[in-house]
Amino acid sequence: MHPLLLPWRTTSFFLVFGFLFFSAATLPACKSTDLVGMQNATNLSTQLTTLMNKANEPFAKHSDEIKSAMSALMAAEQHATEQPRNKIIAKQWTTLRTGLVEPFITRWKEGKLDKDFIKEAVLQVQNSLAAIRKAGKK
Amino acid sequence: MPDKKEIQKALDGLDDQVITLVSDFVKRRRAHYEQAAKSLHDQLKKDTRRYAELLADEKISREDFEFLLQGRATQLKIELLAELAISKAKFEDIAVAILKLTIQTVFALI
Repeated sequence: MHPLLLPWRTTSFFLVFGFLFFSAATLPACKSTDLVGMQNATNLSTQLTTLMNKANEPFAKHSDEIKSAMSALMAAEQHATEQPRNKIIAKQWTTLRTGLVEPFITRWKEGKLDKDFIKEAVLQVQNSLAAIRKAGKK
Repeated sequence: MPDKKEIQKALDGLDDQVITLVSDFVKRRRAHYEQAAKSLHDQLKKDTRRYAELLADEKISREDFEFLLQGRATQLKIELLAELAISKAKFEDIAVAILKLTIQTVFALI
């Protein structure tokens, strides 16, 4: 046998070990469900819906509640950003905050909002949070 | 002791199975995408029509209407990102399925 060639028993050992090592390294890459992230989406769906439904009342009356909801939303976004292999879901949270929730709060700050408008805006936030949960369940 | 030629033959024989496996996943993914796109489009049409009716009935202002359209575009973006997350997960499923097939084949011979 050529001295550079390993005996078959050694080669097969390395082959099997290599496969096992590769599978052990690869399987955790299949992202498991982020339970905290899912819980954040569920909790915020209730918190934001309750808050937004009060937008037909003066903004100042609910400023503490608004601050609390915005903190919870930013914490959820931060959590998503810190998870490994979670770029897409983190992007969803950022889009929800900058494209839906903050613009709604800004309009509310300008003055009380109509019920029909609030109902539709709430639906958009609820459906977006459902999409975040869907992505989290993958 | 396992025959090296047998192992080589078995691994070469996986080529067709891998192609079949991948095309099965892609077929399923294509069907999923078509269904998801149709569903998202149907919902988008339904919502836009509802906003337009609210505007026509003067239940919301033009400013509200434009705000809702913009918000609906944001919602669609978030929904599309969800589909992208799922397709990425499916790609990982393909990699794991190929890995399992290869390992099982080798284990069957040694």
